[in-house]
Amino acid sequence: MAEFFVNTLQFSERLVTIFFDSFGKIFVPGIKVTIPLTLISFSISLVIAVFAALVQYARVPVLRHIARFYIWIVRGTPLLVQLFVIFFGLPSLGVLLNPFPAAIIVFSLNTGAYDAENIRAAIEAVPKGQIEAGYCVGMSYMQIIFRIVLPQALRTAFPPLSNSLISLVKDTSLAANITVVEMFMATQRIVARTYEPLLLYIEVALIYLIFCTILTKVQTVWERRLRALD
Amino acid sequence: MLTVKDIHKSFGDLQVLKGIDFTINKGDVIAVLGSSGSGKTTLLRCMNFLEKADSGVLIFDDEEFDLHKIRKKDINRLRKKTAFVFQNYNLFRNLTALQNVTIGLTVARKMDKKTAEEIGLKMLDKVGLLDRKDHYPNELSGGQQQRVAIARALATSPEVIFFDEPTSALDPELIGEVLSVMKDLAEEGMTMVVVTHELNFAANVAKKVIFMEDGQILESNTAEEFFKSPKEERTKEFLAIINHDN
Repeated sequence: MAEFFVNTLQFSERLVTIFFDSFGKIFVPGIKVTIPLTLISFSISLVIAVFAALVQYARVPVLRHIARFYIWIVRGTPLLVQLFVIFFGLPSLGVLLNPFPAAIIVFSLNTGAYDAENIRAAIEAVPKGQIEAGYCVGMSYMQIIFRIVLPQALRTAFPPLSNSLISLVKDTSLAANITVVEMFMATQRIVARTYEPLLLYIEVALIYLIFCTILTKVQTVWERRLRALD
Repeated sequence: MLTVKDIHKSFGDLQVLKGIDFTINKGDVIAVLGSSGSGKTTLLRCMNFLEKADSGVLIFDDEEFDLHKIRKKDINRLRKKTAFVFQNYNLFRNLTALQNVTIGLTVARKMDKKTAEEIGLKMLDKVGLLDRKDHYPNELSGGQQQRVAIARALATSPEVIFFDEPTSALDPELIGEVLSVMKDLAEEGMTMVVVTHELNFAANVAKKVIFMEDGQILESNTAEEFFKSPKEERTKEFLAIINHDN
């Protein structure tokens, strides 16, 4: 009996030690890789999304068809497959990318395609009267788009855009598959050494949860602020 | 100053304007009356190119334009000489009252911000809303929004302001404040074309009245003559019904 307790105690001690030893080893790649990967990809994706939404809204010839095609391809294929095509596939064509930039490209294009649809819907929801009023004060089409339509649309698109940011935080774990040493990859390495998969995968899940909870809080505060203007 | 000749406009099979001729002189205050669907709003929108007329000629300050073929560049140039007040205000929802008033100056006319704000504040003062300058449209009542919209129209010193049923979307108790601002403008000599159902306004403020029916101008006269001795049977009928409703 006593032996059992001693064993259990030693076992728990070991788990606690592994948990705290690993925390920094998982958290640091989170700050150094997961977060930059998310933020850089999301920023680029917003630019892509606004562009893809605008060329459709303004019915720009050719470009709007390219935008539709891009969105169709990206939304119709798995993110993991896209990562493999860019990282493992492109070298066959002589295009060799480092893991991190390859991940940035794929996440930007992927999130951009979904956000393009969110932003397009928000742009189309801006009442026609806003545009007419813009013409009547003497503004050009471009001035109306950038001063009136887009600011209002981005406000409407804020909740779905925050959601896609939160999804992206979690989706970056897929980059482990193309050898980006982000949080999940770091965790896998510790698991290989310590063989404590349950503890360590729950630990990394908790860290993702912390990141996403912070983002959700920020989203709530901002939404409240924006709602004051509606 | 502004003349339109023989404007035609159809929406699909529906002929909305069947040849309208119409002149606005400097200082005119013209009320455009008529029942719903008579084409008065469409006429106003065609004159500001919010609708593209099927045919017709517009002469503005001795420059003649074919309404169907007019180029974007000319449209933009002509629009800068006019202003438009909408039935449902259409204030820019992402801008404050003051920004709404100044954006036509700063963005469309590249005026420096300081001068534009001075003008903007003056215009807001004129419509009695200086204390609301930092409010967003959703924080203003309908009457206040429409007064900001009038300030926005005034800011760019237009040669003529078009009003499209400016009080139709307002609660009855808010109509007065908007009409009184418009009355002041008329007295200052602003050139105005007002599509309206407010007969009192037409009778007391307008100098001319145009009565439209079925896409045509049925009767056009000075306001005094129009209300004292309407010529057409249909006009008399219209006035009788409206007066009865009031």
